[in-house]
Amino acid sequence: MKGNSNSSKIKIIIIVLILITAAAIGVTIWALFFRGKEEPVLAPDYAPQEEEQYAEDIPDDEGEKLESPEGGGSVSLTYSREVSIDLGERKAELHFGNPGKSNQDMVIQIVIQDNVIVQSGTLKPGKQVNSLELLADAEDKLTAGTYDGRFNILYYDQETGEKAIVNTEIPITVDVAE
Amino acid sequence: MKTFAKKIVMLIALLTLIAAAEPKPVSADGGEFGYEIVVEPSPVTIGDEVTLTVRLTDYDETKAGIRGFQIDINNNGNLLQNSTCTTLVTDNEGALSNYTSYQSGRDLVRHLYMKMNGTLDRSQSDLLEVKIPIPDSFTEEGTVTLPFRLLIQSDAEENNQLTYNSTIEIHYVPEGETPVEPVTSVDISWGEMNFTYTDGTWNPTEHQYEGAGWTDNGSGYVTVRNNGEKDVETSFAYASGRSDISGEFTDGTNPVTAPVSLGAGKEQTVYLVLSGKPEGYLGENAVIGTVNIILGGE
Repeated sequence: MKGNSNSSKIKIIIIVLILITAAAIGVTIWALFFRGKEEPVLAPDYAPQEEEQYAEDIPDDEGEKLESPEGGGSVSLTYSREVSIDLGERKAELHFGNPGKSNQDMVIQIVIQDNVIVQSGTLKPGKQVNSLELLADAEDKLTAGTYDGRFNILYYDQETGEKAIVNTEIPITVDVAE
Repeated sequence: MKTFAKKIVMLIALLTLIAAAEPKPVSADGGEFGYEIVVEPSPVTIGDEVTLTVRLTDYDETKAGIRGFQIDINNNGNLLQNSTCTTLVTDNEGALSNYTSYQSGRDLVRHLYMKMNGTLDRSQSDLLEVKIPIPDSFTEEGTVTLPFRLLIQSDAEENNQLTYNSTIEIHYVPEGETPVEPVTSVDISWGEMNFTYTDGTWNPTEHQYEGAGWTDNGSGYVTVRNNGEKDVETSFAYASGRSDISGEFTDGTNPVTAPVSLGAGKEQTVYLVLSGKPEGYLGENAVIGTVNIILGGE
């Protein structure tokens, strides 16, 4: 009798272990082959064809062009490190300018926790933005509160549209409201 | 022989004493002086007063002595006529002049300090204080820029007359208004970043290549200039696209690994130095990495 009891216990343990093993294999297969992968937003190698729709002329933008090293580039940036996002409006309020003395076009990204939330169109010299639209589904990644983020500033040759090998990062504070 | 040796030792001792007694020459080259201009408060409410303080930041024993200096703050926006200027220099020993005032003829605030003998005491860092009332005629938020110049006469043998030009930004807002976060303004320029790797030349005696490495023909540099009024912490990073090539930055002499604090009007140039032998042919104009400039806050 005692032997039969032990044998039953062993069978139960084996069945439980098999079930656990099967579950682990199943999760592994799902994670490898079926889990939805987010498409990362990559920095374009060439400037976007379209200029940023919210770009405005910089007032009182005077001064000579910066001296441009041959084969290199020179830019001027004006920016504020405070950004606010309204999830309902799907907009970011910021201040960023590409003064007329620059000799490169720019594209601005707002990045929060390695997620690109905003990516502008081309910002030509003499233009600034105070408002940008969020990327599709970006509002699903954010909740109300304050985040540490950064501007990624990408530079593009005005004639060839080719991306420069110099980038700029600017740490920012992002206040998000519903 | 003993007497002769004694004489030699005494002669050497005497010469040593003479050399020690000679006044130590100051550094042959005066070097640069660091300074800052503090604007408080910023922003200032219209109708209130803003205080500018000019001070030296690194006047220590490693620097040449300052025989005299002149500070000029040019007027703009009709701000300086009613300003109050006070010299903060308390070292008047042997001073020919230690006077500051608004000069209507030149339309500027000038501070002139000159010593007849000796140099400015090393404990002296604060130089000038200017209190400027913001006129009620200002109605909207704005900024006034005042050109600033500092001339220093040191006791160095060379490079002893130094001139520093800068600007002072006075940001003001109407009473009760929340000031907008001051905008930072930065200029960045960079060279072509055209690097070439060479295996060097064969040394038949040593049976090895010599002089292998990377060259850039002077094109591998980045310059950052702070045009704003607040300090900007600047960092530089090289992101290599290949595991066999790495890079670091120098200021031309020393590695630049920590953030560089750029004050108003200051600039910094760094040079990219690559290392590592590429595995295989890279091709013409291959992009092998990117340079990242990080602009932080104060």
